[in-house]
Amino acid sequence: MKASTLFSITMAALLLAPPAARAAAAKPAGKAAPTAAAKPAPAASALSAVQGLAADDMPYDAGSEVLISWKAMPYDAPAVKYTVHLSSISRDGPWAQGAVFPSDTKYRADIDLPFWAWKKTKDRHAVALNLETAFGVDDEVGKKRLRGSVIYAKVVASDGTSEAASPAVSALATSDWFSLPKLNNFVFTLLFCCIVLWFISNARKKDLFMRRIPGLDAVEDAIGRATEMGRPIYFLTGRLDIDSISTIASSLILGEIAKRIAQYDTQLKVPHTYAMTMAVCQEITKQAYSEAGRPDAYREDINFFITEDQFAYTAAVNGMMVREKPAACFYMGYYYAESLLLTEVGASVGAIQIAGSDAEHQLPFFFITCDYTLIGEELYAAGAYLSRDPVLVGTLRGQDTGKAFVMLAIFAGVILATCGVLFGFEHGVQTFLEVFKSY
Amino acid sequence: MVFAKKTLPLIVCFVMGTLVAIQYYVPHRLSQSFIEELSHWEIIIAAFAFFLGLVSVMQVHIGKLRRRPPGWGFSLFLFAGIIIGVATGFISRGKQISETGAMTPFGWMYNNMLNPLQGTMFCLLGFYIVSAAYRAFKVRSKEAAVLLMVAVLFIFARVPLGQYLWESVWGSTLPWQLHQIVEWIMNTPAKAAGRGILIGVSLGAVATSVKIIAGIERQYMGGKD
Amino acid sequence: MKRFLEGLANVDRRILFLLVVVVILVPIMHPLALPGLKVTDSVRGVYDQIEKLPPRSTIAISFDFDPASKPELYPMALAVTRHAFKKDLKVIGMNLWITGTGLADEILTAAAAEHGKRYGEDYVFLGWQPSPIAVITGVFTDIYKIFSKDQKGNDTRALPVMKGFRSFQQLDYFVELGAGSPGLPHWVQYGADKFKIKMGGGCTAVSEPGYRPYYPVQITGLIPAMKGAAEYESLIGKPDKAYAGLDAISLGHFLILLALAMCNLIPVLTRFTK
Repeated sequence: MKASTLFSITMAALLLAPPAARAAAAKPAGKAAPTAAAKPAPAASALSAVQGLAADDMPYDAGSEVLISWKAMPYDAPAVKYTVHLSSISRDGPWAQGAVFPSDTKYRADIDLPFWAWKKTKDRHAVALNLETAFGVDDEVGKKRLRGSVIYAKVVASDGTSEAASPAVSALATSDWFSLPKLNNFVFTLLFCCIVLWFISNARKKDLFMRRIPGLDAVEDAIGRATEMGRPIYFLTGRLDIDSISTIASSLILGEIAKRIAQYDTQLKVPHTYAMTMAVCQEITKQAYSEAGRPDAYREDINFFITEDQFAYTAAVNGMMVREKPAACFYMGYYYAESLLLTEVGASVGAIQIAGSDAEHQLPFFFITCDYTLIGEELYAAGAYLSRDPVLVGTLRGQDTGKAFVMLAIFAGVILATCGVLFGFEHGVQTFLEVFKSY
Repeated sequence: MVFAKKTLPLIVCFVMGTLVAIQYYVPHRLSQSFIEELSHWEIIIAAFAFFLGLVSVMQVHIGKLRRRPPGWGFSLFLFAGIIIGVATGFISRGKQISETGAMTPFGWMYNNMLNPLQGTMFCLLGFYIVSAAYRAFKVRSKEAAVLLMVAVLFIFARVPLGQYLWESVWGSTLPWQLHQIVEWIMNTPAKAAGRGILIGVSLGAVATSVKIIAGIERQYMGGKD
Repeated sequence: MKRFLEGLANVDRRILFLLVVVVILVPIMHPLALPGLKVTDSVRGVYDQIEKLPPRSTIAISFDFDPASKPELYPMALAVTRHAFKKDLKVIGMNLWITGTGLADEILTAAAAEHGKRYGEDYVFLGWQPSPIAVITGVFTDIYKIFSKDQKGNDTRALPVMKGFRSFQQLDYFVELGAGSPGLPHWVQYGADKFKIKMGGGCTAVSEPGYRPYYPVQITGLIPAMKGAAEYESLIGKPDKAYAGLDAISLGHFLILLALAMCNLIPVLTRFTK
C-alpha cells in the first residue's frame, strides 16, 4: 500500500470521528431515562427538600458515572450538608451513600470541563458519581449488572438537627463515543499532523536549509581514525526501548553511520539493552550495508543483546571497551546514570567520543567527557543531517513549525494572563486559556 | 513473502496505530476494553522479546566459546550465571524468604551477589565524577565559565554543610537564604528549559508516530522497498 | 614548583579515587553531625499530601529501583512507607523493575512490622509484571487484569485491603520512587496526569533536574536522593540511614569543589611560574 493511500485513509478516519462524536456528546440527556423534576417534600423541619433535582448520564465517560444536579438552595451554608443516595434496585431503595459534602460546595462550575463542552454555572449543584465506587462493585458480574440498571438517586439535606429528603429521580448511565472536552487536543494534533505531512511532501520538491552541526561533521573523522587504527567503532542506542523517540532517532543515525562504516570496511559493534531495539537495529544495519554496496561485510553479530539491567549492561560494555580499545564511540539516545560510567571509560581508552542525548540531566557529563555533544533536539536532527533524506528534513521542519506555534501560544498566553490581571478580565482570559488545557 | 514481510506489518501498524490514536478521544466502554486487551497483548509480546534477547546472548557467547578469542572464559561465567540463577529461582519459586521465614538460595543470591555488584557499579559514578571534574571541567569559553559557576553554586548549596557555612557568613543579612536561591533556579529557569525540551520531544514523538503510522517511515523494517 | 604543578595536573586518577574513599568512608564510620539540613518545599509537597489523608485512605507506592540505586532510594522508600503506615493508610506496593522486587518486599515488610500492620489487611505487595506501559495503563483501568495474583500468589481481589478497589483511579495518593526508566515520566504521562490522580515522586540526584518540570503541577512534590530522604526522615521524626549519610554527602560534594578548583587553578598557576 502506498504511503499516500495510507495517509488518505488515516485522515478520512480521523475526520469522520468528530461529527458522530459530537452527535453523541450533544444528547446525553436524551439517552438518560426520563428524569423527574423533584417536588419539595412536605416541610418536616426548617430545611426543605432540594428543588429541581435531576439525574442524568454523565457525558463524555464510559458509562460509569451518573450526574446528579439540583438548584442552589437559600439555606446553603457550611453547616448544612447534602448526602446523595443511590439505588440500583428501586425508587424506594435500598440506598447506598454516593457523596456527602457541605451545601455551599460542588456546583456545576466546579466540574473541570471546558466551556465548549459544559455550561459552568453556580446556580445548580452538580456531582458526578462513579457507580462502581458507590455500590462497592469490583467483580465483572456486578459491573455487568450495573451497566444495564436504571439508577435511582435522592438527596438529603441535613443541618445536624433536622433533615429533608427529596423524592427519587432516575437515570441510565451510558457510554459515549467522543470526548468533547478533548476536542482542542484533537484539533491541534490533527493540525500538527497535517503540517508535518505537508512539509514532508514539500521537502521532496525543494532543498530545505539545515544549520551546521559540528558533532556530526566529525563523524567522518571518527570513522576514518578507526579505519586507520584498525580498531572497532562502538555505537550505543541509549537506555530506552524502541518505543522511545530518542531510540528511534538513535537508530536512524545508526543507519547513516553504518553506511559510512560499511564503505570503510571498519568493524562496528552495537551492544543493546533491549531485544526489541536490537531486532529493529539489525534490520537497519543490514539495509545500510546493502545500500553501501557491501552486503557481504554485514555480520549478524554487529548488533547483540547484553541485558536489560542498567549496570550489568554498563559493566559489560565497559569491559569490552577496556579489552578492545575502540577508536570511536557514539552515544546516541536517552541515558541515565550510566552516561558518565561509559564515557569516562571511553575517554580513558583514548576513543573519539560523540554523544547525542535529549536527557538534559546527563548533558553536563557528556560535555566534559566527550569530544562532541549533540544537545537535545539535535539528536532528532542528526538522522536528517547525515542522510539529507527529504522525509526526515521535512519532518524536522514540521516539528519546528509546531514549536513556533507553541512558543507563540506561550507568549500570547503570558500577555493575555498579565493583561487579565491588570485590567480585571481574568475570568475571560481563564475561559480562553481552556482552549490550551488538557482534559 | 513480500506480503508477509512488508505489506502485512504495514497494515497492522497502520490499523493498530490509528485505532490507538483514536481511542484517546473515545471514552466508550468498547474503547476501554480495546486498550485493556491491547495491554495484555503487549505484555505477552514483551515476554517473547526476552527469548529474542536470550537467543542473541546465546549466539554471541556460544560463538566466543567456539572461536576462543581473548577473554572467552567470561562467556563460561555468563552461562554459569544463567544456569545457577534460573535453577535457584525455580528451587526458591522466585521468593527470597521461604514460608518458614528462612532466606532461600534465590534470596541469598539477591542479597549477597546482586545487591553488592549493582551497588558497586553505581558507586563508581562518585569516583568518576571527581576524576572528570579534576581533569576535564576547564573553563575554555564563556559558556563553560557559566556552567562552572552554576555547578559550583549548586554543589555548595545543595548540601547541608554549604548551607550552614553560608548562613554562618551571611546570617540573615540577605533577603534570601542560599537554599531558596537554588530552589528558585531549579524551579524557574532550569524548569523552563526542561519544559521546552519536553515540548520539543513530545512534538518529535507525534511527528515520528505519524510517519510510522502512515507508512512513510519504514526504516525499522529494514528500508523502504 | 612548575614540575610539582605539572605532576598535580597529571595526577594518577587512582589517587583521586583513594581520596573519594577517605572522604566518604570516614564520616560514615565516625559521624561528624554536621549541621545545616533544611527541608525544601518539594519534599514537603509529598509529606503534606500524605499527612492530610484521613485514616484508611488508599495510597499506592511504586518502588521502581534496583539495588544499584539502593543508597539513594531505599531510605526515602522506607520513610514514605513508614509515614503511610503511621497515618494508618492502606498501602498498595508494586514495582516496574524486576531486580527491585526483593527490595520493595523488604521495605514494605520492615515498615509494616514496625507499625504492627498485617499483610492483606493493611497492605499488599503486587510485585512485578513485564511491559511497564501496559502495566501502568492496566492498573489505571482494571488492576485485577494485570495483577490477578499478588507477589505471594494470593488472589488479589480476595484480599481485605483491596475490597472495593478496582483501579488506581480510586487512589487518594500515588507515590513513584524511581531510579530511571521505567519511572516517573511514564507514571505521569500514562497514568496520574491522564486520570487526574495526585502523585508525588522520588528520584536519584542525577535525575532531579529532568523531573523538575513536572513539579508542582503533575506531581505535588519530589524527593531528590539521599538528601531529600534525610529531609523526609526529619519530617516524620525518625532520622535513619539517609540522615546518617548526610556528612558523607557534604564532604563528598566539597571534594568535587576542590577538584573543580584544582582543575582550573593549576593551569593558571603553571603559566605564572613560567
